[in-house]
Amino acid sequence: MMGGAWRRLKSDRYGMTGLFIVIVFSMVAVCVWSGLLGQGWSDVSGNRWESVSTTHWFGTNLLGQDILQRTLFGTATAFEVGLLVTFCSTLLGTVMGALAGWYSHGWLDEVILWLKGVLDSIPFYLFAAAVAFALQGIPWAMHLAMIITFWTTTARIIRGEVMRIKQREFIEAARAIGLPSIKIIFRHVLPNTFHVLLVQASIVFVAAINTEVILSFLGLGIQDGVSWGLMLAESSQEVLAGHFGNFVAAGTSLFVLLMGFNLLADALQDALDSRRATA
Amino acid sequence: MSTPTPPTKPPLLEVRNLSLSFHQQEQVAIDRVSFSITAGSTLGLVGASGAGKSSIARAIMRLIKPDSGEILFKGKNIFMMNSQQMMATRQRMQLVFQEPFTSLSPRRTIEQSLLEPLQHFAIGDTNSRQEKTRQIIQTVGLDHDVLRRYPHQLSSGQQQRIAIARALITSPDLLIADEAVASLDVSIQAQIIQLIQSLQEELGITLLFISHDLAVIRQIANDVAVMYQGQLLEQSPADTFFSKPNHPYSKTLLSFTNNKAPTSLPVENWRLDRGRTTAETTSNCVFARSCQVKMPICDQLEPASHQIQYRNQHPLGPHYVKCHLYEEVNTNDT
Repeated sequence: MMGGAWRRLKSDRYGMTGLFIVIVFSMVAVCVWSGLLGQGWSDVSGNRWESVSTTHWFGTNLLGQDILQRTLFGTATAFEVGLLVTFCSTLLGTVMGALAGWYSHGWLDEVILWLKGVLDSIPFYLFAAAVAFALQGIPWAMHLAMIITFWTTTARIIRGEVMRIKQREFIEAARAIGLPSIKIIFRHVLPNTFHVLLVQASIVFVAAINTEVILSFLGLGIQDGVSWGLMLAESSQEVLAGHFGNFVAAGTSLFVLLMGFNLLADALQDALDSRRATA
Repeated sequence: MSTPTPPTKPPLLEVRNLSLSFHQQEQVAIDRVSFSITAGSTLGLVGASGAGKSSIARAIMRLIKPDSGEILFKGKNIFMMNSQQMMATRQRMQLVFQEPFTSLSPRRTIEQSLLEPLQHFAIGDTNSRQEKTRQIIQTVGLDHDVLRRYPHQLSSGQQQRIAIARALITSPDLLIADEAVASLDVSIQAQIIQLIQSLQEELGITLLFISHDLAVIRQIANDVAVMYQGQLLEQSPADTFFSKPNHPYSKTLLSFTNNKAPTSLPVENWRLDRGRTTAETTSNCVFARSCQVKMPICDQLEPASHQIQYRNQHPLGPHYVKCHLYEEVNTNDT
């Protein structure tokens, strides 16, 4: 099944472009983590607002820091946020969705749906601001806010999938030998939601990076280090003064990465479509 | 045979007064159904779709909980069992489904699917389990290399053979085949039926064979039970049933398979007859609306299940008919 999906993905030009972009960016992120790139993000290496040159490809900022270094480091920040939020919210959403779907119309389902309804009804940025305010000083406040709100969509999707899958006969066969629910869920139900999860995770990843930029711009985001959002926040004054370094570097990086991810997510959705995969 | 056979073998499975309704749809699925299957024999359960056949299978497997009634497996009520006894019982009965593709886990190899019951019931060690999967694959007439494959890489006939293999791998006493050949081509149908029959002879399995197809039932069943709207209307040895059905519904069913167009069948009523809600009264015969030999009493009183008395005790087993026509009939030539 997965072989066919890969073949379909390979023949999708936009999908492969997206995959290429994502790979390039993640390689940058890996290089930053391993100390090969972007280490000089906080060094003052030039004068204020230097323009583009061979030493400073994107110029320097207000404090004379190299914008290229900061952009590269921002890539790692974006991936950090994206991976952490995607992993945690997908895990939480999967567990909640699986429980709700397996015990659908039971009390557990009711509780989970109620929780989801409450969280979904709070405007997101207001909620993020509240969490960030409540957890002042804790560097993970933003991540936590995203995880708490992003799991609901995954849970809703997984709940529907589980309700569909649990009516299949192989589930009855597993129940007929007396396999406990928890084993059935993890061994027989969830593996069949994998294709949906993969697509949903890539969507959450994009949303997390996007949201990080917006929250950082609002001053609710990254406390330590630098991110594209912080760079864009800096640029809001610079642009008026005619210095476009921060704005172009962070904006372009964000745009290209998110486009790449969206292209990949779309292609994945097509490639993993179970109706086509089983045909 | 050298040893004298006992006059009546004890039933392996006995269902007593089983009732079940789906409360959300307020639908009666099973209505006071009683039957038993002798060890080693085959009961064919016939009926239109929606008659409650699958609900009976699922109740026996304890996949759904009936409202009332008893199910006795080897004389023990399965609803009174503790989890340990139930675990032992589950090993002794297995189910084969209608749709071979959806009855196998799509992301697990055939070997993983076959190993699962053995691991769950802790039968044997790793080596003997693998040996057993190889054996069972041969028993159902497949090659070893299917073990590494996934369900979607097999044909539907192969998939159904795998489903049967999975059911048989714990060496059950009772095999329930719920429309197990209904979704297969006619030629593959014949192969699977042959396979089930030969396995039954070889392993002495008791079979509850559920089907809407009388031609299939005729090939495989020793006894036949006819279901209509959750009730058993007739129950008899297969020979008697196919040569001389007694209940008006059985007669209609048989006339369909014999390709003789039933005379003036009120087809519109059949559509109306699909399913019965819990609110509806059961003070009449469930078949009254479609019956061609309806009498005034059929609308007023529910018939009891009458045992047809033969002049000589019927050699193959009792014959019950739930119909007012047979109230007075006490003698009936075989």
